[in-house]
Amino acid sequence: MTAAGVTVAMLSVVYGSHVRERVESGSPTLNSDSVLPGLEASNQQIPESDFYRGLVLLLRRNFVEPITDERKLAVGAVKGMVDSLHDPRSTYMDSNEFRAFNDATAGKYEGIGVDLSFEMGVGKGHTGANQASDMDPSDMAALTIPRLTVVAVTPGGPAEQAGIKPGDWVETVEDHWVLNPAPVGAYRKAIQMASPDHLKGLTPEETHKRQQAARTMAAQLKAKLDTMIMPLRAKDMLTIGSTGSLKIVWHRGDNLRTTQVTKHTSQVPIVENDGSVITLRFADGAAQKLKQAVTGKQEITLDLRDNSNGDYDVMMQCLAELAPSGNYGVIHAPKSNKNHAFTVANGNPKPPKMVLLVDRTTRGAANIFANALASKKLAKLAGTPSRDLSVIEVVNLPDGSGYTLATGEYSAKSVPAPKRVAMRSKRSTTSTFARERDGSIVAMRKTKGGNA
Amino acid sequence: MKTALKIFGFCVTLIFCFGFGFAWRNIRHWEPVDKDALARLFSSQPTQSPEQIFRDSYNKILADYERPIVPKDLKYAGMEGLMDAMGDPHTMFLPPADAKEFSTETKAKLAGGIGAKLQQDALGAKTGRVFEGGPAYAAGMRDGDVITSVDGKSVAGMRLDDIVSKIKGEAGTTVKLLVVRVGDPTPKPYTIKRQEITIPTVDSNYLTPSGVGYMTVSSFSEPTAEQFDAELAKLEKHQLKGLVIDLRYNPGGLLESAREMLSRFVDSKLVVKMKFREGNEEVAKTYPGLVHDFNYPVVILVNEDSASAAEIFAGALRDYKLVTLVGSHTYGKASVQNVWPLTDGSSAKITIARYYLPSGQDIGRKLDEYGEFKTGGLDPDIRVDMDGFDQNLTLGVPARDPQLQKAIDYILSRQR
Repeated sequence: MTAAGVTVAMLSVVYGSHVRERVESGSPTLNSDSVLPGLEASNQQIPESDFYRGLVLLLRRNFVEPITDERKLAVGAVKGMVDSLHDPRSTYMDSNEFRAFNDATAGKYEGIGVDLSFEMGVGKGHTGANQASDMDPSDMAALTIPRLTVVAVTPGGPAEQAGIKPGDWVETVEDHWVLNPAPVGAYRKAIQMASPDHLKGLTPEETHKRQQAARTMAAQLKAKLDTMIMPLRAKDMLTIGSTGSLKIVWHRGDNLRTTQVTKHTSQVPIVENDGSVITLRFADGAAQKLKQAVTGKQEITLDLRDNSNGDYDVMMQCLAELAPSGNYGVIHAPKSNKNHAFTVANGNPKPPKMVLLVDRTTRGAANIFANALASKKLAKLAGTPSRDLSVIEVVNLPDGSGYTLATGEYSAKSVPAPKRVAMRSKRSTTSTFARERDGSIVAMRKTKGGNA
Repeated sequence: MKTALKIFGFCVTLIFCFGFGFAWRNIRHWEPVDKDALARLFSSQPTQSPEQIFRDSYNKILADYERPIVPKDLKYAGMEGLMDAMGDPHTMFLPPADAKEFSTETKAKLAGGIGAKLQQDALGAKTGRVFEGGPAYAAGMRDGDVITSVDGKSVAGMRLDDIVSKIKGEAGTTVKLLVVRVGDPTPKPYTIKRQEITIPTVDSNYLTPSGVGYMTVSSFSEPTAEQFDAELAKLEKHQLKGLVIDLRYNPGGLLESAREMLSRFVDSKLVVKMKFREGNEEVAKTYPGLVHDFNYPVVILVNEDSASAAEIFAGALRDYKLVTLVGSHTYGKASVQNVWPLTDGSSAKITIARYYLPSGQDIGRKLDEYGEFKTGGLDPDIRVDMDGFDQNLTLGVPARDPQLQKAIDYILSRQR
């Protein structure tokens, strides 16, 4: 009797600790008791959960200030993981950015009314793009430093009224230089041209001229760096908030334009039917509104321009309103090199004839939508869409922040889509140059060399 | 009645045991029970625990991201993010490679090498400095020699990091080098036995014609105080008109090393006051009986990349009015970190205290809303800013180093 009682009591201790484990981690794991001793004493790979708990414990006990919100640490860990993907389509957004992102999907634009992206690679109108050498410093800069570029302009928004167009990219905001490759590349190029290797056989005047040019470039870059803000920060300034006015200088081709734009929130309808053209946004409720708009019509024209961050699930619902059930290609996951069938279920057996207005601002979900319909000749594309056919998942975190995650790519045929090398070619994107700058200690040490 | 009491007592015991098990995680660390965990236990709509937030995303990214990911890298990225979320630039997670580099820096010891500082060169790797007392020096190698081949393979055109890792190895093993010296057309072969190397963190140079001693301290590592004494003795073989201690680009290091070096200047005096969490305070004082007689003016060179222990050293000496600071304002790192090595070779560096200089000054760096430096650090007594883009700049050469030149001018102006 007593033995049974003690056993039951012991079991309840074990059960208590097991319940705690479930409360903390969601599901029970083994070796839950070896947290910090395990971290500090054994000699093996540490499972991620133990790592997490171990570090949180270290911080709780030792950090100079008390830790009030452990959730901040967990969300920080998520941010670290997403950032480590170095993929412009998979990005962590803080609660402000994430709210603006979700609002934009639903046609509600804060800020100056633009969609921005960090464009990399040697683009048109970029100086030095026609230099053949693949080691050209300007090109190198363009491959490692992004340009904050407009991909879409909200119709009727402040940016549109100020004449801003997709393709424009930001030079300064409120007189702060936004990091971009042009002056960095020009500086590196000038330094290269003034290096001893490139000065061989030149006249003294020519040599002097080149050295002078390098000095000028250095001075210009230095002046810019003194006022620099990072592209991410500039993006927030342009796309978050509904009050205040910003002085922005834009690049368009080889020209600079200065604008003064007042922020306000502009709402565009999810589905807008002006009689002849239906403008469609893939946000909650779009499928039903689309259904009403197309009922009884034999022919429709859909405007899919300025459509760069549609919701994938809503897009699938809309597709079912306009396409018969069946297979429309594949979602290709480069990781596993596997294709998953891209199918429409409960489709519309008698869809209307469609014309889709597309251009390079038709991206992601909207682009998949257009390509799927066109692949079965259900729709004609008026214009050339972008090549962005990514499937992007949106993940909400409990503190109001969130992130996007690229999980695959649509292809009409079951051939793997070509890999876009430029996006992945460099490990770090926005921070590359900043790190060089902040860490001039590092730069100095590197030139001093390594110890052997 | 008695039975009912027994059953009741047993139930209370069970609940107590359950509670003990539930709270064990906290009890074993002598902490109060986590309120959030209790809330989650009794709530009908449980919110995610912080750990669950992390694990869900860890699993999701691993499973669903379109490109392959190494789980270990993702885990480390998560831990880096976690530590970054403290909002303190000096609290960080160091993955094994970084942790190893960090430990090499603080110890200034290399497990096995030839004893040379290498620089990139078109032909391979150039020895910026061959350490006296190291095996390469003993074998006859000298500053400026260029290593063109390692173990029979040419290293021309290779990245410096790769050459360095080929030359390094376990102590006791040998490495074969082919070395070119300026003015000698034939490369010379060397066979060098690797040894444990103590990396010099102090370098000195007697400057002529000024007659000023110039000493560079590149970090405050374990052997730095000892190396400081040795270099000082070397310089004092000359009749010094003054001493310049160059702490530019010195990122700091061990508080203990700074304290030892300060003991050459002041006896049993306050170095810093540290404030830990919950208001605990601790002071560090210099050691008694180690003071050296500096019978000449001492100038310390600083810039924005002088941080931490370098700021303590320079700041404390200035508070005691023993030196003049020349250069630009320093970084402004007013915090103390401890490093916890973890079992897989990574480590956690955590800010455990803030410190205050003898004068009470808090030199903490403050930034404006754009992340640009606003205030903080030590302001030099004589400000000389340098143009980092000036291609002509060479640290340590007075004619091409305006800050050093200013320091020398100041010392010469103080001669009686």
